[in-house]
Amino acid sequence: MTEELEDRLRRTYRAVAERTTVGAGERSVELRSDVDGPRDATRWSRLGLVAAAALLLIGGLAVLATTRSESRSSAGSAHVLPTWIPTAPPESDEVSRSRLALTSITTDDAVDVLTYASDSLALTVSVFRTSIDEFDGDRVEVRGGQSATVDGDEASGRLLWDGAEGPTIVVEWTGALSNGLASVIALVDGLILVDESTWNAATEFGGFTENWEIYRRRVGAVSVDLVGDLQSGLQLFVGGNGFSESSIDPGQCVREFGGGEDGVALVAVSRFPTGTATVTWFDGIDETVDLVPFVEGSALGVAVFERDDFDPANLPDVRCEESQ
Amino acid sequence: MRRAVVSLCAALTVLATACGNDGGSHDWDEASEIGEPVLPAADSTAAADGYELVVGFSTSGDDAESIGCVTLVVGDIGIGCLGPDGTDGAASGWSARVRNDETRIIWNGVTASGSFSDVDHFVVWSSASPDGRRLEPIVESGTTHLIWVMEPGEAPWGVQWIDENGGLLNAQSFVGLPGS
Repeated sequence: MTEELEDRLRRTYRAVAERTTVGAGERSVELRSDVDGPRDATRWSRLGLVAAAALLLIGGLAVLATTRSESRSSAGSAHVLPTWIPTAPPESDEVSRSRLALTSITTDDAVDVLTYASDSLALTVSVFRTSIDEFDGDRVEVRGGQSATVDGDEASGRLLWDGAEGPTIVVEWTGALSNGLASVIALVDGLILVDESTWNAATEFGGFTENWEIYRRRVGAVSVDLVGDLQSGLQLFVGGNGFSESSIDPGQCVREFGGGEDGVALVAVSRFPTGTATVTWFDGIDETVDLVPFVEGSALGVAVFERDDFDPANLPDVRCEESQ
Repeated sequence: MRRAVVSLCAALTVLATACGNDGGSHDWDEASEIGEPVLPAADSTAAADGYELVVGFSTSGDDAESIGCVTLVVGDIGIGCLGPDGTDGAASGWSARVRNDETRIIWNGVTASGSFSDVDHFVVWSSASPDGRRLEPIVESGTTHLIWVMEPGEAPWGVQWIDENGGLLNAQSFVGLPGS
């Protein structure tokens, strides 16, 4: 919408500028001293046109400035919370990987910065609400079809994603990642857009919180939750089972068995917010349900199949397709 | 029976620790209400203002049978009875948020087989250390301890358990515990 308005205004400026140039060129002719009445009328008419054009130009600039201000104001209230953070590669004798520790949280009107570190890997997630200088790099896909810029390699680098409706995200890392660049892309995929009050609640006590529940959403018969805190990590929960966004393979759904007040259901979570989820039940019947965004600003979608005659220990496969 | 209850409580405490949440209780436990007198046979191994960590024998139950363990002593009150591994009747992990007069202490102790016993150090976050400050563990008789003594007015937010590679083993919230 904003781009459309800006385009219209730019076309108007061009038209106004062309007419203004013509008017000025003719004015040198109008300045002759022997001009008569009718010529005076023409002169004043053309001067009026120039004045009107100038006013229109000034007005257009004002509208554009206001529009940009509103756009930035919308991004100004936007923050993000990560639902998944990369890890360093395991040491050779380690059975499991330890996670990165959240070492600092800084925030002001312009930018939020979350810093994570271990001895071998440091990573920052910066969330800008003002314009920043972009950089050259390779294009990579994030969040189900959006484009981001990557500069660097697996040992160190930075990734910039300029979300259409939110702030600009820059992820910087130094040190080897457990799954290379895919780890950083998974981080960006898992970012959840939140408002200022949620951000404040999540960061007020150094990322420790008193209440673990960030979001609770009813989808059909089941509850879909975002729980945890920044220090322990946020996790998605469906029907009491937790999972991270990075565990969802592209083109597939995570299947969960959910219990609710109104019965039980098969729940599918996808890596894209809208589209469809289709299951073939054991009796051979196909059922398709629309995906809905998990929460506002999420790259995840969720679909609920409300049918309770299936075995929770042997869930049928679900196929997810993104809407085109 | 009481041993079983003690072990169960300790196990639940360790489970809560493993899950990174302290169970939702938002006040300090009064030492006089949860502790027991310390046997005079106990040997002090670490001490600071307001507490001692002692190794010795503690009675458990009405049968007055003694078991070996590591106990935190606040004032003259013993809190808990931890391991070491293989000790009959002793817990493999213990957690307490205890107040005795002006002294407030968060104690987490684990045996070698307990969760996160490979901790290298802690980083504690609070109103007095909003960017975190490092705290070294106390290792005694095969057990590892976080003993966090609050400064006057300090309200704890949480603690990070950090491994030898600087990675996060566990984060445990204490948000809601008051600063007095």
